[in-house]
This record gives sequence, structure tokens and C-alpha cells, in this order.
Amino acid sequence: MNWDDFKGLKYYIAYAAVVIGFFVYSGATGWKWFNPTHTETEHNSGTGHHVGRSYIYHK
Amino acid sequence: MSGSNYTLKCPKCQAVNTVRGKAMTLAMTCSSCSVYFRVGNWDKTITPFHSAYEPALPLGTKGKIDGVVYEVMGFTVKKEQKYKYQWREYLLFNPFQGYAFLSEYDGHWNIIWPIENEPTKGTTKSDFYEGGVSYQLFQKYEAKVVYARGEFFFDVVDLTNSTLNREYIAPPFMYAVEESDDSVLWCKGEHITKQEVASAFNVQAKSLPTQKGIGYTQPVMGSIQSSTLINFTIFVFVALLISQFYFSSNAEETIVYQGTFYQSALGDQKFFVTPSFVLEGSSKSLTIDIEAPLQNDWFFGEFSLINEDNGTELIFTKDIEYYEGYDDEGRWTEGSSHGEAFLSKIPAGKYHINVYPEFSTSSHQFSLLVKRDVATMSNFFLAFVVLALFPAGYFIRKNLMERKRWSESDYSPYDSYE
Amino acid sequence: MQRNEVYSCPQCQALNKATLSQTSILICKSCKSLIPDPQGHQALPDASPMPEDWSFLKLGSVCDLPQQSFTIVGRCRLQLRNEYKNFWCAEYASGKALYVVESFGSFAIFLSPWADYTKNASKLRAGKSIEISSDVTLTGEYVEKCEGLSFEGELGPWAFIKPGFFVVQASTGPKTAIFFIDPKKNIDYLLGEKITSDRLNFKNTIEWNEWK
Repeated sequence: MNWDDFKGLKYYIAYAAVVIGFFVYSGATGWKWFNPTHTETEHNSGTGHHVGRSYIYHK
Repeated sequence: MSGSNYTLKCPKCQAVNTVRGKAMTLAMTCSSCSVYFRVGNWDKTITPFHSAYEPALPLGTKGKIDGVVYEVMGFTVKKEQKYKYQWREYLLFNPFQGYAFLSEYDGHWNIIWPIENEPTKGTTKSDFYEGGVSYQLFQKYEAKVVYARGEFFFDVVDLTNSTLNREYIAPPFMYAVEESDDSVLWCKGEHITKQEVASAFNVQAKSLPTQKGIGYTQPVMGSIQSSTLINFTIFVFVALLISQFYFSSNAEETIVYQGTFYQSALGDQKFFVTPSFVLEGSSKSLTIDIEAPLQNDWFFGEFSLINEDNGTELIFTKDIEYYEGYDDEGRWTEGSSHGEAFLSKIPAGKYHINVYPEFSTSSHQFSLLVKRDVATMSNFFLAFVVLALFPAGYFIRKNLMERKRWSESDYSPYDSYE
Repeated sequence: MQRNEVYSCPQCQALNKATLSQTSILICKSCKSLIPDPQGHQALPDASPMPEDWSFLKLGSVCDLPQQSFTIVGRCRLQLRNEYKNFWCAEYASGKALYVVESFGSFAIFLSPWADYTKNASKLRAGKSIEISSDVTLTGEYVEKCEGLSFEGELGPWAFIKPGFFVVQASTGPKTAIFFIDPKKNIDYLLGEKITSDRLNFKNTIEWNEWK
């Protein structure tokens, strides 16, 4: 095996580098790719305990 | 062809033929009456051909292959004697490198050149090893020339008729040996694409024969070597495993909140509010373990993780249920009294959780355990699968192509399995 | 014929100087005629004029090796039935002769002198094992009849001057031997090594520019 052999693999090498890079980034930030916990995000200007949907419930 | 004053008279029609190969040409066809004749005085035989074929690469055309300029000197159509298939060979010449052949069958091309030394013998008669690669016997045949045109540096008709040929392959490479009582000639060959041939000889690719099936030295996927792919895949999986090991062993799994809630404490409120807790560092995962003492019952909760610094609210639900009983086959259980919610990429900040529970008639409490920086295995398995797709696809395709390739051979290693 | 002696061509009277310590054949550079040995103990070769071919070597080509350089001074071209062999004779180390054998871009160099092959001649076949000595066994590559001979320049020791003999080449790895078998005479052979033309590093060659 020599370096020329890797030329044929250049696309797989690039692909593997992207996957591994993404895996490392996800591991470092605690990102689970397929997460059964579905979440919704809401943004509110207030900072108290009763904001967003909580605020609706609270009313 | 040009540039030679060397001429020979056709022994049949007496036409004067310019001999491009000069004294190196030992047999040729007459440009006027097309008969094949030997140049030397020792053999005056004249060979006529009953059919005519047109070479896809015109005689006299020059082309550059691997940096060497070759000229097409001769063209032959050969017929295998057992299965009667035909293929075409172009004799190429360069004064510094000698001669080589371009062989074409069903639109698949090989560049073949004589070699000085016999390859290293293997353990069986049907294979050998060269450069650490195993070459398998693909075909053994005798052939006849059914048509020739141009010039030849040997008596191609007589040699073809008198030799037994064996070809060994390790795509894209091959070794061929021509054996007769008087000579053993080893050649090495390599698959060359139709486009490379067209580009080398400056002809239109569409003017070359159409490809059919798989060539016997055609590589499975471009220039990929199986051993290199295996080695690289192992390297990638090891890198993935090391990364996963690092994340698993370095996950802090800090408990940031733990508490139990009772329906009785709810009063007329619709939700519980946890005390505030602080998440530190960069973005990390957060897990919320929910435990409810259920017995043939369920618990449902809607949860809001609220960032008190910016008001962002992350809403998720969790439904847990647990049933058990007895039937004809004995005791059964279904579900669990435990559930986990996984939240990705939660930034640092001050948080609390609002829980909107729905209790059943018999379920009246639940507990929460909130942990920061919990590693997950699922990314590892997914990455493993994603990375395995290419090598798996390659080897499946390779296997299918190899079976198809070897279906043309009397020496298929797949026959014993089928 | 002696080194540094000048011989006059009987046909054209051109002067030809021998450069080898032991010249067996000298062809006039001017009119291509054979210059007989004045000692008179030489049979006349049965040779054809040197034909045109595509060899890139010529008389005067120089091979420049790190430890030695040599100059091509003559050639014997063997026309075989299905091939040709150019035996280029080169002068090195003040008069010594060696042969560089060339055919279709493949080369072998023979520094050792001609030797007698005294073993069983029937073994000299293609595909057979041919024992030269206890430590050299080669495999026969081809047997070809020599149909024509042509000479030019100056040759060192050379005994085969009439066509009709058989040529056998046998090799193992880089080691190679070329046997000349004349049924009426003994069998002579040269033992040498195959070598690439790159390694021989020829200078003063024919360029053949149309192939570049």
C-alpha cells in the first residue's frame, strides 16, 4: 500500500472526515442526533418563573 | 504512416509497400491486395483472410499512454477456439520502449506489454503472487487470427496458432503467458478505460466499440484498492471508538436537581416549579429522569425548561406507563415506571423547570433527577452505520461484479458455492 | 587484429583503427566492407548489409555508469524468425570488450567472456530448467533460429559468422544467458544481467524525435 492507493478513496476520506468531525462536535456539545425527546422552543422577554406557555397556564 | 524509405514487394500482387517498422517488421499485409505475408526468406507462405474488419484505431495513429508515445503498427482480430468469441488486438510500437498491445473485447480495453521476468509462482498451478497480490487464473485458451492488417514484429498468425495462452487477473491488472514449444512470453496488462484510449489516440470515444457487460480486468470502482479501503475503514472505526471512549469517560453527569412532587402539594395550581439551578461551562446535554411509582397505571407530564437569563423556554412532554398481569403464558409486564428526556446542546445559564403533570386516579407522585453532561451511545452507533455505508456498498457491489465477471470464466472461484 | 593499429579497407582504402584488444571482426566505416585480418586466419562471415531499424543506439553511443563508462564500437544484428537481437559491442577500460544485447527496448549486459556449454544440449528449451553451474539455474525463454547476420564497426570475440544456428535465451530474475547452438560446433554462451535502458544512461543516441 502506498499513498497513491488513497487517491481512489479521496471521496470516502472526505466523507469520513466530515462524519467524524460532526461526531466529535456533537459529542463535545451534547447533541444527540436522533433524539426521541421532541422539544419546542419559545422565546419570551420576561425572566420570571411564569413565562411563555407557563404563563398561559399560570393565568 | 510516413518517414520510412524501407519498402517491400508483395509476393502476390507485386505492389510496393512502405515498411514503417523497417527491418523490425517480420510480417505484414499488403496495402494493395491485403494478403498477409512473411518478410523473411525462410517462410514464403501467403495467408489470405476471408473477412475484413475495420480497426477502431487507424494504423499509423500515434497515442500517448503513461507518458510513452506509441504508434499503431498492426491490427488483428483473434478468435478463441473453444467458445468462438472474437477480440481485437492493436500492436503498438515505440523505439525506446519496444512494443505493446492494446486489446479490446466487448468494448473493454487492456494495455499489455511484454515483461522481462516470470512472476513469482503461487502455491497452486492456477494462481501466483506478484507484489503481494494474488492473481487468479481466468482463462486458458487457444486462438487463431481471423484477420490482420498492418505490420508485425513477429509472425502473428503462426505464433497465435501455435501458442497456448493463460491469463491471470487481479483487476485492474493481469498477467498473460503465451507458451509454445519454442517460447514462453510473459506479459503484464492493465485495464484502460475507453475514454483514456480515445483521449490517448485523439479519437472520438463514441467511435470506439460500445461496452457490454463487465470487462475481465475492469476495476470494481475506479482505482479503489480493497485492502486500502479495509485498512482505512479500520482506522476510521478506531478513531470513532476512541472519540466515543473519550466522551463517555469524560462525561461529568453532574446532578443539578433532584426532587419528588406530590399531587396533594399542587393544590389549585396547575404546575410545579423546581428551584433554580445553574448550568456551567459550554453547551452540554441535560437529562431529566422521571420516576413514578406506577402499578397498571400511567403518568403524563409537560415540562418547560426555562432559561431565566434570556427567557427561552424548551418544552417537552413525557408519558410513562407500566402495566403487568398474568395470562395463559404466565406473568407479563409492559412499559416502565421510569422515563428519560434527553435535551441536546443546553447552554450555560440559570434554569428552572415547570412541570404540568396529569395524574391518573391512582398515581399521585413523581420524582425528577436532572443531570448535566450525559454521554450518549446512539451517535456512536449512527456514525458507525453512516461510515460503514460506503465500504459495505463497495463490497456488495464488488461481490456482485466479481460474480458477474467470473461467470465468463471456466475457473470461477464462485462455482463451488453455487 | 591489435588495438590502436590502423587497417586499410581493401575495397575503398579508408583507414580504420581497431580500438579493442582483441578484434575479431572489423567492418569499414566508410564502405561497410569486411576488412580481413592480415594474419589471414579468419573465415569470411556470411552476412547481409546492416538493415535500417529503429534502434536508438549507434556506433559512438556512450553508456555512462557511475563506476564505468563504455563506448559502442560495433554491432552484430541477429535476424531471428520472430525477433531480432542487436549485440552491441562496447569498448571499456582501454580495449576490453563487452556486449549489450538489445531487442525492442529490453536490454542485457554481458561482461563475462564467451563460455562453452558442456551440459546436455537437449535441456536448452523454452520453459525448461537450464543449469549453468551449481549456483546458477535459469529457465528457458525461447528458442529461435538465426536467419540472418549483419555486422558493423568492430566486434570483440565472436565465433558465429554464418546464420543457421539456434539462439536460446534463459533467465532467472535479472540473470540471463544467451546460448548459440550450432549443431556442427560446440555451444557457446554469454552470461550477464538484464538491465533497464534508464540505468544504462546512454548518451549520444539517435533521438527519434517523432516519438517524443
